[in-house]
Amino acid sequence: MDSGTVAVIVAVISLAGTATAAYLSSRAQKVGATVQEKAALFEGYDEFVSHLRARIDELEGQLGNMINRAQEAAEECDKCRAALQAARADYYNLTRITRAMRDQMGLPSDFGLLPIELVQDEQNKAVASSEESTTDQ
Amino acid sequence: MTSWRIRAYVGILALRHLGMATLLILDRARFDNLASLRVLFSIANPTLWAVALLLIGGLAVVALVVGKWFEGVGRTTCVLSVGMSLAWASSIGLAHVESSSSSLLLFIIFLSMGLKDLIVSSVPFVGPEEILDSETS
Repeated sequence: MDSGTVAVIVAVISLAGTATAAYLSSRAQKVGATVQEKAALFEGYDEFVSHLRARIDELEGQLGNMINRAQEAAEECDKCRAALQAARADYYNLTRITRAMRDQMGLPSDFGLLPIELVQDEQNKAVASSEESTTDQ
Repeated sequence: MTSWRIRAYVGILALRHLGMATLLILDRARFDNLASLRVLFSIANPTLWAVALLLIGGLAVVALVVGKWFEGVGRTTCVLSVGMSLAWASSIGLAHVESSSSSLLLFIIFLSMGLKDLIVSSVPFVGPEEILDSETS
């Protein structure tokens, strides 16, 4: 090979390499700019995350309060339910006692009226019958 | 914004070119007798190669010193280094083809250096993880 050919070969290889490098370099520069642009989107990301965490803590606190209140309400509800159960039992016992007393007194078993009202009713009936007998005479 | 990784690479590139240029200028007689560089020096005078190497090394130093020019000048340096390394590699390879007295080891070294510069040119100078790292540190 003469020196001219050698020089051309060397120049072609060198220039091809340089051109390829220049092309790839310009493309990489654009990619790098895009990467930096995208990375800028993450600025303030940590602040955002800490803000979200604080908000989550706040909401969790509120949720905890709500759970406590619901627990208290459930306990109150249990107390009310127990009291209601006791009142029902008392009512049932009173009814039985009342019935027994009415039986002892020879009164009809009328569950529509309380014993005191029944007494009043009997008195009213007695008064009415005496008035009738008086009128008949 | 640039990473320490690429700054270190451009620094090494400057060292390589300035060192080669200095050796070519100061110890020219030794290079003149090398069979591997016979083709290279037949294409251009060793002084011209030394000047070209000095220019590339100088550009690398400018890129390192002037921070705002780093991306552009650093990329130009890498691209020129690809051409320079491939010119040396192809010359040494052709010298080996013409006479086997030339060193294939030098051919491999210069070819790999050129390809390495090509790879560095083809990637962004800063990666997303390095941006995040610089933001957090």
